[in-house]
Amino acid sequence: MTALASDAFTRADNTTLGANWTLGTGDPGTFDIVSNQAKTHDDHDASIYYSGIAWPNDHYSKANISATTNFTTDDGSGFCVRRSAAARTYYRSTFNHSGTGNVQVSKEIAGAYTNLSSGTQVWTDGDVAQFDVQGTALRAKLSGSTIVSTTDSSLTTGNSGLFYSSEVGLGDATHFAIWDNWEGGDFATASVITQMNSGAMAEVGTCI
Amino acid sequence: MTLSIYAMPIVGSGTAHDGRRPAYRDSVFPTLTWSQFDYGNEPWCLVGIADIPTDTDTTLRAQTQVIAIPTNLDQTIGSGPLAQVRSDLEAVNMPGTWVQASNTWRDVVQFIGAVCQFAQRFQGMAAGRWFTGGITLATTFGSLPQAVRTALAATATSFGFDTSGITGAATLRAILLSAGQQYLATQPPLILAGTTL
Repeated sequence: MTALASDAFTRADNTTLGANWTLGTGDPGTFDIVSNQAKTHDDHDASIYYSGIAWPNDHYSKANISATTNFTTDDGSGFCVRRSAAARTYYRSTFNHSGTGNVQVSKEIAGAYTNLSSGTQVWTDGDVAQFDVQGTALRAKLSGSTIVSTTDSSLTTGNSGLFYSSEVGLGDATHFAIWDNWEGGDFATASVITQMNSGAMAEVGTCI
Repeated sequence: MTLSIYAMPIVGSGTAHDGRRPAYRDSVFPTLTWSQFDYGNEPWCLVGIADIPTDTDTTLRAQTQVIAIPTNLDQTIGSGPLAQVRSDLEAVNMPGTWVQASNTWRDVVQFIGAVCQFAQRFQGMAAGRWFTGGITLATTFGSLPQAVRTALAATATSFGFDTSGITGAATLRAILLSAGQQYLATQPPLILAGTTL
């Protein structure tokens, strides 16, 4: 994997994530910067994608995630991949702390929501979660291990970002999610030339 | 991990509070690891469930709308269930007349998965249904609405398929049969609930 963009969200509190982030059309919720992390602003479905680069068709989105413990099936903290500029069109993963079915993969096609896959894995706030789309393969991961994987062919292009789902409603303060140290990238192996230009390879050269 | 495969209806309107999902997800297998291939916007899907308990499997098999696939996918279908397999597929507007007694159950679920992928791409492009308003597998391409014809051709092109068979006289059955076969010949393996079919 190669990181193509990253954001540690280390900046002053704000009601937006900044210039490189674009709210997904059609989802009513928004995101804030709070205490150097990204946090949901409203308790409502929300998606936002990193628009500072042009994303390859195959990409991933990952971050340290946290979520309150009161989410149920399909809801929680997560990611969107192949997030289209069109309204509510993307693949989405959600992670919550419910006892079963707490890792979900779904799709939204012009607002039509279809639940594609579900699995169960206990996780702790701050763990690294990741959502991959590679060809027609979708993989939701926790701490590097694949929890849910399936195949879907609906969407072929789009952007990488964050996703949040909750059905409680606007104004509720008891449900929220947090992301930190976000990274998006592709599945290419870093080139030798790139590595040789890095300090790390210079160290290796010294050893030899 | 053992994968059990079932065909069943999809329920749900697709809204946030009523997402499209396998018909018995909530009532029979809410706690299990599963995934589905939806047949695009058609009301039907192929579901894979990992390590399903025996009693849950029994409950699912008892549902009249559920078709259970044998766990041993490499077993040939044989002449006994052949007619039923064909009619079950055709009943949900999936080409079924190609199935022979010598085919394995893996051949069948791979084909279903492949045609589902084709339907999903169509869904992503056009967000519509094929089998509505009297359209059946026997309907010819030339008699489909123009928007459907355009999207069908674009769907095939998006996969890099040979589209020479998509002519005015070609039936939807022939087009979907070709799409399924070309998908299996050219695309990556299908993964259902973490298992490669």
